[in-house]
Amino acid sequence: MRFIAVLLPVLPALLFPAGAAAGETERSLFEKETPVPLRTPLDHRFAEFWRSQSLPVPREAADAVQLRRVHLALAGRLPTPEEAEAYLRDTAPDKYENLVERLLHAPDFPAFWSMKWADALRIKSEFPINLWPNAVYAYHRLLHRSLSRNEPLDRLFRRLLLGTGSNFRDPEVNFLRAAADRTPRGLSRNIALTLFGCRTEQWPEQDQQALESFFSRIRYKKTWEWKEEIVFVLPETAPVSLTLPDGTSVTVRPGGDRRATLADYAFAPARQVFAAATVNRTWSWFFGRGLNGGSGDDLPRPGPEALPEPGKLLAREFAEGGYDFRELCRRIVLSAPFRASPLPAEDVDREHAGRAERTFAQFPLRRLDAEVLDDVIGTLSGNPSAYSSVIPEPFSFIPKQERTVLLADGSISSRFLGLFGRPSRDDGTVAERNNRISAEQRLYLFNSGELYRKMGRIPGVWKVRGRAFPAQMERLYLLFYSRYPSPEEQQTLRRAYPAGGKEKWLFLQDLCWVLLNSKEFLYQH
Amino acid sequence: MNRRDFLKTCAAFTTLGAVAHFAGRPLSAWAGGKIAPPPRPRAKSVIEVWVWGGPSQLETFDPKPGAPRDYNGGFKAIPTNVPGIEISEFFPLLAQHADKYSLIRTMTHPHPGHETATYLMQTGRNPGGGQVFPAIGAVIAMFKAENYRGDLPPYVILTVPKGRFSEVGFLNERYSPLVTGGNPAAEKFIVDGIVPPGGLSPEALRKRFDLLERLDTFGRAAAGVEELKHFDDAGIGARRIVEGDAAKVFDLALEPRTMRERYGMTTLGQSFLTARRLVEAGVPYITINAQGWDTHKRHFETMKTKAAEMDKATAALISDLHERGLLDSTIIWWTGEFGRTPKVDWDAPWNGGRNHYPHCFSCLVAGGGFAGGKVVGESDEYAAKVVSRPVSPQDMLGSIYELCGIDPDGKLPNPIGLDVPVLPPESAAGRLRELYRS
Repeated sequence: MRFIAVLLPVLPALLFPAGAAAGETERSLFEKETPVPLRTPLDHRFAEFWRSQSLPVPREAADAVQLRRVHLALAGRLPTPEEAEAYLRDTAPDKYENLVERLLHAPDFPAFWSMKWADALRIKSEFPINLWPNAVYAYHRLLHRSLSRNEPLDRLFRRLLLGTGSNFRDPEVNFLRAAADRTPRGLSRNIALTLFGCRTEQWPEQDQQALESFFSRIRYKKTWEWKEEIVFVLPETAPVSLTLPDGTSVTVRPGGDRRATLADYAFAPARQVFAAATVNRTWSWFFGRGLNGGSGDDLPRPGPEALPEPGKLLAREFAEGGYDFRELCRRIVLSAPFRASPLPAEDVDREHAGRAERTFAQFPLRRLDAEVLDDVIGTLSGNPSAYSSVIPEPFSFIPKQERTVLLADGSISSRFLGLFGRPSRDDGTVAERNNRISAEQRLYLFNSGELYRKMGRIPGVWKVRGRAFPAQMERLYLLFYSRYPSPEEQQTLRRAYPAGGKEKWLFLQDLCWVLLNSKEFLYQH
Repeated sequence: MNRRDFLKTCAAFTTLGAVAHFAGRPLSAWAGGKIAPPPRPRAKSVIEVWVWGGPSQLETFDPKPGAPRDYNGGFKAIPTNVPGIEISEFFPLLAQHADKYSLIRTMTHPHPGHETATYLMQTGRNPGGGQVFPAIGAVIAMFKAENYRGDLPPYVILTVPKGRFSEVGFLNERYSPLVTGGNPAAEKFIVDGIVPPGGLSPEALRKRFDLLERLDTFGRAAAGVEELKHFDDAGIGARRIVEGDAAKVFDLALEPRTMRERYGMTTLGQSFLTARRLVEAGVPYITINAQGWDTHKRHFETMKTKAAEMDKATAALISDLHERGLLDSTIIWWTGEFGRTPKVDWDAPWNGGRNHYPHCFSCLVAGGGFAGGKVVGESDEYAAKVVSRPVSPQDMLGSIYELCGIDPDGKLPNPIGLDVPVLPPESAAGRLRELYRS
């Protein structure tokens, strides 16, 4: 028995050496033969980081892979077949940089990113966060507008932290309302999570109390208007001494606001408290894990100390550059890790491949976000989902043509969104969003009648049918994968392609099903 | 964690100076003095009849024929097959089986809102505190999953979700319920994702799976990536359901016509029948979400139709499971999130309505180690106040857990590393020991 126990952990590695099954031609669809170029100081920090982990600089992802990846990352959508063809034909050496600029300034950028920030800000109408519908939409519009204008994030979050007034007329106050627990302790937890990227539950009690006292004078009251609520602050009557999370003491004078003192601490470019939290969280939104290897909002203490060197640099640049969120996203998608191959390096063992994935030397695969997948299927089928809600009142009806990523209210959901892990927005942690694949999800994709009806429309909507065989296949591959089929794939398809007219039609349906159910489609890779 | 491990952990915490974490929590549940669990946990499956909206205690299991008409609406109680137990005249069929179930007439909690009350009744916890706890269905699905060999998910809801309520809480997504959708009383009960929508022969399906494999260029190139292994694993179970027999459990045409009619040819009745088929398939937890019991207006008119189909379906389920020898290993619990106000509101716009009332309401339990023919608790002459033996939601949940062989005071394993017991530790005293069969 003993030798089996010893052998077992080794067995999978012996049976499935990473990357052994694929030939070089298959790999070339997804990666270039050259290593990813190192262009910026950030890239060089990563190269040093990888060297310290005994990892080589990874290969660069193929053009088609970068095209699809950056569309999903910045716009939360796939490129259209026309966009894909134009990009793949383009021979300009800076075509990727040009594409990034276009995407950063298109309306899909604030639409997609308001979804991620709304997750972190817990925007939902009901239980356990009772914002109520009118306040949800006011708050979401504020966020969407701010991201559209690329308002510096420190300015946005200072507004949120210091808000007072009505949940309908001063939407920033909803930041302090979006809490399941509105005691000073509960508020301090939420704010530490959002602004510091820390879970204060793990702090010593004394430190938790110190932070709590910054929120002890916040009050809420109802008005005669239905579901209106006012957030206000009791003014200080005497000087009060408080302790900041870094241990320094500050005095708040009579008439002052304790929250402002905390804002000065969090947004000071020299301290990089908010900068470290934002950089780490945003990185995890792009890569599925934070720069520190954690979930993206689990720094042990406020500030950049726990981040590896590349993270420290990114945080400093972000703070000194005026908390420019678009610029942060630009830096991330232009970085070497973002442009790296999604394939495990050849002839390495599992341990090595795992280490490469954890340190961003191999682009980590992540199943598409629930809302993004819903949007993608809606676009492919020409039949987007419609959302509405009657509880709590007033009723909300979302126009069908509005993207699902713009669904403001976390309480409005569907079976599909729930199944694919849309976050409940209960606590605002990054981990609430669940991108793990499950048997139920695969079952749905295999077999759902709702999906069958939608998929049946794809060949018609995208005018696949009227074309000759190879062009039909190219069209479908561009639609689903943003690339052309390889000669081997064309051959496989040719062999399966039936002779009769009706069979051809059924085959196109089969193929749409196959492409939709494939790894290449379902993952950001 | 056994007791020795716990003491060790305690010692470790003490040295770390974190003993405050446990302060204020009675240790008795862990360190001796624990109430004896049932002698032999025998429940393999649980059927929860969730009467959404709040069923009236007076028109179900706690009738008050002696109270004024403003309370009982002029409706009577009828005897059952157990001397001394009477239930509402709305449930004549169920009255013939009182020896197989027991009634709790003193369920009580303080929350008159649907969401909060549902959360408490389902999780045993008050909302707030930043964590969303899993509902009993997900918890039992998780504990029972180890010995469950079926292809269907371990938790199935017929036919619509409870709504606005995350059943799975912080547990792994795999314990979230499969919500069937569809209508079991229709010609064909289409469970989206499970029962193929039609038009595809097994041969055509196989062709699709073949092509999927042959065209998996990316999968071959990226072989070795851990995430893709999960993807393949998830596909194996799903494909088994698509191509195998699992969908047959939803094919009610396989039941004799007389059996279907015994449950009633309504969505509710056929949901009950499907629940019995799911129990036979070994599914550990099944919820039937009954709709339309939030009777603020015209309560008695609604009761006439709602209670009739409920009576028929519940009586059929209990007797059918009993005849098949499955009642002994299957718990049925029938409850709403609360009851309804004892005093009837006759004025417009209510026109004889009852509102939300959590302070004293009724619940039925049967099978799986619960004795039949008993009544727990006594309410006052209006079914408004608990007179003796209050039963809390935690008492109810804790009893079901114990009969399923789950220690309610033990650790609730969870992926976020929270150190919490299955139920709040202070809840141990009130479990329904008087109903446990020896």
